Amino acid sequence: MGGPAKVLVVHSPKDVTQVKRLLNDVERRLKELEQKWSRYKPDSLISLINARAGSGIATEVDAETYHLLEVCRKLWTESDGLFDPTAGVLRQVWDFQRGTLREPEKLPALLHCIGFDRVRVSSSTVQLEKPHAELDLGGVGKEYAADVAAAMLREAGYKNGLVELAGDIVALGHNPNRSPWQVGIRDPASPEQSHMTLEIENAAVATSGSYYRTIHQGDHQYSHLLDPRTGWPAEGPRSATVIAENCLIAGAVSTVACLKKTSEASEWLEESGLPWLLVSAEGALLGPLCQKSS
Amino acid sequence: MSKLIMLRTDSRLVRSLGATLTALPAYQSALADAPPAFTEVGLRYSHYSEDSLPEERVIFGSPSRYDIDVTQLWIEAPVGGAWSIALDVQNDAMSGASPWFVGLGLDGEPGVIMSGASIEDNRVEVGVTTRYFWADGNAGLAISHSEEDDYEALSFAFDVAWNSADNSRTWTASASSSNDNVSPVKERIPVFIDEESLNTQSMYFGVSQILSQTKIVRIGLSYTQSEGYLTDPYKFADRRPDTHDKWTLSAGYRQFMVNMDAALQADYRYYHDDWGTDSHTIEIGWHQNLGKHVLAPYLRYYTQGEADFFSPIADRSQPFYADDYRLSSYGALTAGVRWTVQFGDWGIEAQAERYRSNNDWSLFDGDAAPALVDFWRATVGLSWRFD
Amino acid sequence: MKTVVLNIALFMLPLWLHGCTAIEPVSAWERGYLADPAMQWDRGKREAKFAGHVYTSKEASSGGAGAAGGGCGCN
Repeated sequence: MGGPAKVLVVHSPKDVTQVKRLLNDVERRLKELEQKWSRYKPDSLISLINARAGSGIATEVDAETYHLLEVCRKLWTESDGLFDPTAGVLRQVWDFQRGTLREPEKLPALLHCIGFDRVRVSSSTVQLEKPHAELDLGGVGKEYAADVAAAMLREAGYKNGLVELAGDIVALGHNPNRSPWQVGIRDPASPEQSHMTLEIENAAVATSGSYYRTIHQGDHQYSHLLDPRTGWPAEGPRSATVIAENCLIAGAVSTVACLKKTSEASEWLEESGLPWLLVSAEGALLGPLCQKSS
Repeated sequence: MSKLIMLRTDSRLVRSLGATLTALPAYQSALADAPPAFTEVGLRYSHYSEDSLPEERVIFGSPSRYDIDVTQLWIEAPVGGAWSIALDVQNDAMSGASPWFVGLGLDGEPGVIMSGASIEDNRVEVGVTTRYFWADGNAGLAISHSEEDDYEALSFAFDVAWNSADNSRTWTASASSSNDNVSPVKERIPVFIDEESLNTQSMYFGVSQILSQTKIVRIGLSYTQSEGYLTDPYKFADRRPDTHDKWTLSAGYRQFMVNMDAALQADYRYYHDDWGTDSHTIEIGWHQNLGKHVLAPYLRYYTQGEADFFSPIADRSQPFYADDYRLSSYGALTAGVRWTVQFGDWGIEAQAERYRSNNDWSLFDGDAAPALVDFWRATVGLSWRFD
Repeated sequence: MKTVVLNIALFMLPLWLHGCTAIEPVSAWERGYLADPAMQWDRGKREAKFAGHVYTSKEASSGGAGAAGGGCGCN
């Protein structure tokens, strides 16, 4: 799933060995999820499903993968197809490292491979009906993993801690100083600095957008999120940050927002009823979070 | 700087996404005890029909028995973040005849004298249940009122369930109380009382335990005490004690079959009362998931021993007596199948069940009652959920 | 007669609790199957209520599925 992982647990000194064991368990569990869902790992479950695209062979999946794909289906429906876990196939023509469109002539054929409606999911198997189709759990997989880590802390009896997986954050309780966790939201213009600090307790923050990987085409700067309908990077906001009860909801809502045009993104975020922040393509800050900040 | 505390939202989008999360392991401890995410309204219609008695068992009257049309209507809604409320309305439209008493036929075998002309009665039950949810459990309070021509009942029930710290064990306790009034309709057949009352208190204690990722078991004990008028006023030869103490010991087991995407369901109940009746009930079910559809066949075997004061032809010289087939020794087999499907916010259900009883199928000794009941019941239902 | 039932209960409980020692710990993230509707104790609230009513009014036994409700609808 990529990106650094950080797990903090607030505990008393006598719990040191216990917490070490817990953190080991968390690490093992996160690696297990990565082994299932990372498309960067050639031997992951997702890579196996992708390799079998169009072959007619169904791949056996565990209940957790099945249920996460059901969350994807819900999000795909709710976003009218804008969030599509099969859109990742478009990466074949877009070079995010260099920021260029490599083979424009391939685009129409790839667009044909996209469509979550052609992913056959049963409670024990997954099958991509179209040849060359690819499944990618970006926007939900890492966010779910952050919730898993937080749930493990909670289950082990630790009420205060922080989980951060490549920018997605779950805050449990308060920090060691008994005050809310301070979470920095990065400034898209200068990724090293955070342009806003949020104080959160028992909440999750997810940010989607073009912080790390962007594409420059002429004067345009595109996000690494690709619109499954056009095959081009979404021309929406640079980033969207959402706070929710759990990271999966926050990630799902913010990911879809980044695929929409800025005005439609605001509507979508407003409809969610959750606190949000949007950085428009021009760099303007929008949303209830920036109004509250000073 | 900004401080955010309230993350509960009324948004349909977030609630709809949240509902899909409940199946994911990371959220199960957090969402184990949460109010429903949606408001649900539903309507069910059932038809219950008893087989006619065999002609040779009827000495007098029509052999046809009871038919009931049952309509259930409900609405259940979340209230705030921690409560739910449900309103249930049920209407039973009953018609038919029932056994009045058992006498000796010309062949020397016991036969039934039926209650004569068709009886029409209507029962309306209205119930309200409120439930409170917290992190480790939930508790409900229910009030229900039932009324028909000759019977009125008001009952209260309280139940609570709480989970162990690791959420692997759930304790359940409940208590209920019912105040009933019977005032028989007199024009049908001779009755000997004007109005009588009955009070019933009941309690249950149970515990369920997760055994593995696919297995869960529970056991429960219940005790019910009734005091008041327990005789059937429409039966000619029926006189029962005015107290009735009942105990049950029940056990259940569920095992999920991952390869088949199905579950095996097994339940057992032992029952004992101070009228001398013991019974065993065993039910085996199979729940097959088929995408959006579920097909669930089940088999039930029930057997009971006769009450101390039962005899096929009531002995009215005794302090207590009854010829009611419900107090006789018999065994009963039920086979049923239930089908449900969920299309988005719409749920459809259909179910059919056949019940047959026979004195020969009993595990207990005792004389055969001539009026044992066989019946069909079938149900169709529709539910819709919304925000 | 009461003592009979109590004896059975006391006998069954320790037996069952003893069985608990062999229980596998199941973490929250391993409860996907247990959360399937197939693992519910009843076939839906309304069906359970209706079925309970039918059996209770036709058989001598009742109880075992939580506390009893009210109403007759017998015959």
